[in-house]
Amino acid sequence: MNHPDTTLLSAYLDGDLSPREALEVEDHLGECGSCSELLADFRAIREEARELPSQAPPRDLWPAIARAIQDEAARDPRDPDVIRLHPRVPEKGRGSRRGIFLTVPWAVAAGLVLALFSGFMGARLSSGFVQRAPSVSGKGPTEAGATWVSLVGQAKPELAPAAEEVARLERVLSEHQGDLDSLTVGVLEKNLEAIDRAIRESLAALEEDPGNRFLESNLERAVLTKGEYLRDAASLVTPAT
Amino acid sequence: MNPILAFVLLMAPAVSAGDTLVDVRPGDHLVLKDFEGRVVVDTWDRPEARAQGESKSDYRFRTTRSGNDLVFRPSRGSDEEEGIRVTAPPWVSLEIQGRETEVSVRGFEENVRIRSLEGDVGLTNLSGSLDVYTAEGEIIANGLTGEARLRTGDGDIEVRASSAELDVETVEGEIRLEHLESRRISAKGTGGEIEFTGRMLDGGQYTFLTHEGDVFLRLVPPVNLDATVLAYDGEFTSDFPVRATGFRSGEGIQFRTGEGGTRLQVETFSGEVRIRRLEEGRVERPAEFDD
Amino acid sequence: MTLSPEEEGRDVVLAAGGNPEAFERLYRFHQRRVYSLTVRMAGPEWAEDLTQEVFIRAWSKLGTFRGDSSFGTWLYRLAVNLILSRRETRRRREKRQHPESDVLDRMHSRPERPGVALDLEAAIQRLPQRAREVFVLYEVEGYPHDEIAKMTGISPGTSKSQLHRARMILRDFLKA
Repeated sequence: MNHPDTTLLSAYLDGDLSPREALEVEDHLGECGSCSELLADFRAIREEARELPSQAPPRDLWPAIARAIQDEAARDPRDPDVIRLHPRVPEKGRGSRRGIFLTVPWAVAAGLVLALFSGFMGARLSSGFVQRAPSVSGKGPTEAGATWVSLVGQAKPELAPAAEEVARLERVLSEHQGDLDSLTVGVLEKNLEAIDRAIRESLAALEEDPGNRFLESNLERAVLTKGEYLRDAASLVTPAT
Repeated sequence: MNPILAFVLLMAPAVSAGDTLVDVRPGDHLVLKDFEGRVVVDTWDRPEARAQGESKSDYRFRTTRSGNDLVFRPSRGSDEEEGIRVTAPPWVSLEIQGRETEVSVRGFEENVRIRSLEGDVGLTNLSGSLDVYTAEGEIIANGLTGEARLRTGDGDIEVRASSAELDVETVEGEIRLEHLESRRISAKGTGGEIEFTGRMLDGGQYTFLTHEGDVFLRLVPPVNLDATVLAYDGEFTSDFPVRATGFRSGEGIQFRTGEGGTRLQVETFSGEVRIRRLEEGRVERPAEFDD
Repeated sequence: MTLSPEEEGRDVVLAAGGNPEAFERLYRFHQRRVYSLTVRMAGPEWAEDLTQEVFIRAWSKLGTFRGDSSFGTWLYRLAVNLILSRRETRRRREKRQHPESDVLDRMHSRPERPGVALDLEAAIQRLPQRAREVFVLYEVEGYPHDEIAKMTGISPGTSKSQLHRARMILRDFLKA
C-alpha cells in the first residue's frame, strides 16, 4: 500500500483537501498504523498549541510605555501638527470617503481647508505626478511568475511589459543559481522576498483603492526595483575568470 | 625602487610577484580583481603603484598591464584567502571586484567602481564619480565631494560629511545621511529606515523613497521646502509650519515651508515621515534609532 | 484584569481621544496575549522591547482604528506586523553580538539532554524562523494561510509547507 506524502496528512488535518482526496486519505488511515499515529501527533500538537497559556511579562512594562506615549502626546496624534495620511476606505457602492483625518497646522486659511476637502486641490495635485515609462518588454512569463505578473497587469496594464521582463530575469537567475554559493543565494532570496512583499502589499492596497495614483506609481517603482535588483544579481553570476 | 624590476614587470604580461612597484601614467585604470580578503587602496604623490599582500608581505599575485589597464589579481590556481594593499597616485581610476572582498578606498580623484558580493565597503575623501554595489555588505562613506551611486542588498549605507551628489539605494538596510552639504540626494530603501541629518541647500533636490521604512529628516534651519509627501498608510509630522497646497486622502500632501525653493519628495507605503528642527551644532540621535 | 466588550469599546474611544488612563486599561487587558505572541515569534530576549513597541505604536495609530474588527484583532495584527518588520533588525543585532554562532544552528539544534522531550513552548523556540512564524500564526493565533502569506510575504503554498515542516520538527522535539 502506498503511503501518501506526509504533507497530505497536514492538508487533511487542515481541511484543505477535496472530498475525494480526503476520502482516499481516510481509506489509507484505516489501514496504516504509522500514518494514523502521525496524524494523531499532529492533532495533539494542535490541541496543545490552542491551549497554550498566555505568559505575563516578567516586569511591569507600563511605566516605560507611559513615558513614551507622553512624549508622543506632546505632538501626535491629537496635536494640530500632525497630518494623518489615511487610506480611503471604500463603502459599498465605492468611492465615498470616510473619516479623512487631516489637521493642517497654523498658516492655513479656512478657505484653503475647505478647498482641500472638496477635492479641488486634489485634482491640481494629481496632475503633477510624474509617470515613468515601463521598460522594454521581455519574453513570456514563467509559470510561477505568471501569477504575480498577471496581477500586476490587471492592476496597471501599462506595467505588464515591465513585469514580464522582471519575470524573465527571475528565470535567468534561477537557471544560474548553481553558479552562486548558497550564502549568496540565501541573501538574494531574502532581499527578493522583501521586494516581493512590497509588490504584494501594493497590489493588495490597489485592490482596495483602485485608481489611487500614488499606489500605482508605488507599484511601478516596486516592480522596477525588482528588475534592477535582478539585473545586479545577474551581474554577480560571472563565468569563472 | 629598482627600475630594472619595474621594467621587467612592464615587459612580462603576467608576473607573480610579492611587493611590487609599477610606473603609472595619467589616464591609467587600476583593476583589483578576485581577492578573497581585504582590499585597501590609498594614495601617495608618486607616479607609481605599489602593491603587496594585505597581511602577508610575501603573498604572490599576478600583475598585468595592457594599455591603460593595470590589473592585479591572485595567482592562477591560488585559493589563498588574502587581500591586497595598493598605494597609487590619486589621479588614476579604480575598479575593484570580488566575491568576499572587504574594500577600503581613500583619497582618489577619479572614477571608482566597486562590485563586491559579500564585503563591507569603506569610502573616504573621494572626489570623483563613484559606482559601488555590494550584495551583502555595508557601505560607509566620509568626505565624498564628487558624485556617488551606492547600492547594497542587505547592508546599511552611511554617508557623512560629504557634498557629493548622491544616489543611494538598499533593499533591507538602513540609510543614514549625516552632515551633508549636497545639492542632490536620492535615497531609496524597501524595508529599512532613512535618516537625514543636516542642511538642505536652497535650490537643491532631495528624494526619499521607502516601502515600509520610516523617513526621519532632521534639518538645520532655515528650511524652505516645496515638498510632496506621498503615503498610503503613513503619518506625517513636522516641526516647521506647513502650508498645504494640495491633499488627497490615501495619496499625499503637497506643501511649502518658509520661502520654498528647495524640492523635497518623500514617498512611503506605510512608514512614518517626520521632519524635525535641528539646532545648529547639536547632534543627537533620536531614541527610537538606538541599538 | 478584564474588560467587557462595552468597556473596551468605550476605552478605545477615550484612548483615541488622548486619555492615557483608558489606554492603560487596554494595555493591562491585552498585555499577556501580546507578550506571549512576541515570545513565541521572536524569543524571550526580544519580547519585552517588542511588547513595549507594540503598545507605543498602537497608541499613535489609534486614530486609524476603524472599528470594523475588534480592537484586540486590530492590536494583534499590528503586533504581528511589527514583529515581522523588526525581524531584520533582530537578525543584524544577533549577528553583531554573536558573530561566530549561526543563529539558525542555535535554534534547531537538538535539546541538551537527548531522550528528554521538550515542552511545546520550548520546542517552538527552536523551530527554524519561517516555520516558527507560520506555526505560531496558524496554530496558536488562528490566522488562515492566505493572511499569513500576505503578512509574511510568502505564498499560501509556502505557508502550508512551512506549517507541515513545523509539525514534523515539533513532533521530533516533543517525543522522548
